[in-house]
Amino acid sequence: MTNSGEILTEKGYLKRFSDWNLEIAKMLAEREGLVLTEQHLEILRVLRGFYQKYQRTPTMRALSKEISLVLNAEKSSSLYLFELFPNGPIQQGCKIAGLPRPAHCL
Amino acid sequence: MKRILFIFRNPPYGNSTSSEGLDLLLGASVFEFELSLAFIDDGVFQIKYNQQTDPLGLKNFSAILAALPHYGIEHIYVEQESLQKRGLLQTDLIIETKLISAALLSDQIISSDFVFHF
Repeated sequence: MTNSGEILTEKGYLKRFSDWNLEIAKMLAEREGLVLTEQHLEILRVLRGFYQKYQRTPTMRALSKEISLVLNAEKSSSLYLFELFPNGPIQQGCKIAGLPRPAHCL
Repeated sequence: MKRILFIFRNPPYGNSTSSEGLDLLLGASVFEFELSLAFIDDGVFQIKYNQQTDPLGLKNFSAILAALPHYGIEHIYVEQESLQKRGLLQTDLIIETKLISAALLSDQIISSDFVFHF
């Protein structure tokens, strides 16, 4: 694996969206103290899909909506998402999904 | 619930007016407001389908407008004459909109608690 300093920003976000892969996701998750499961991965894929389509990191509301459309309504609840990403589905999720740092914090 | 109307009347690129308006709109969507959005004049270009921004070295920030229903923003108006004058049809737009006349738009402005203009 490449030195993380080359592919990550100072704040630990992936520099290039297209560099993301499973190995990198695992490495990013480890930095957050998380072990990735298939449940995490499906949310990460939704986040990446959202960013690809709409060129912007979602807010919590928009992410929930997207999850209910792409996956199902149960997985769109804040409770479920915070269980997977305790430090915030947006903040932590975007980081592990290889999205740029969200400009907003809402 | 307070009603806020956002009016976009500038083209999407060339300066940052439109993108700042969009930031405010999406920020406001987090709170309990009833949000409406109207595109008039060159603002209609913001929702034109198939915008190629790569040659400009810019991000296509309009892409997010296709996701407005995700943010609970359901009332999206386009002023009829603005669209016509620019040779555009509703089918050229990236999002479902309601056509509105200038007169009806004035009614919307009057019935809103706040109006932001970008």
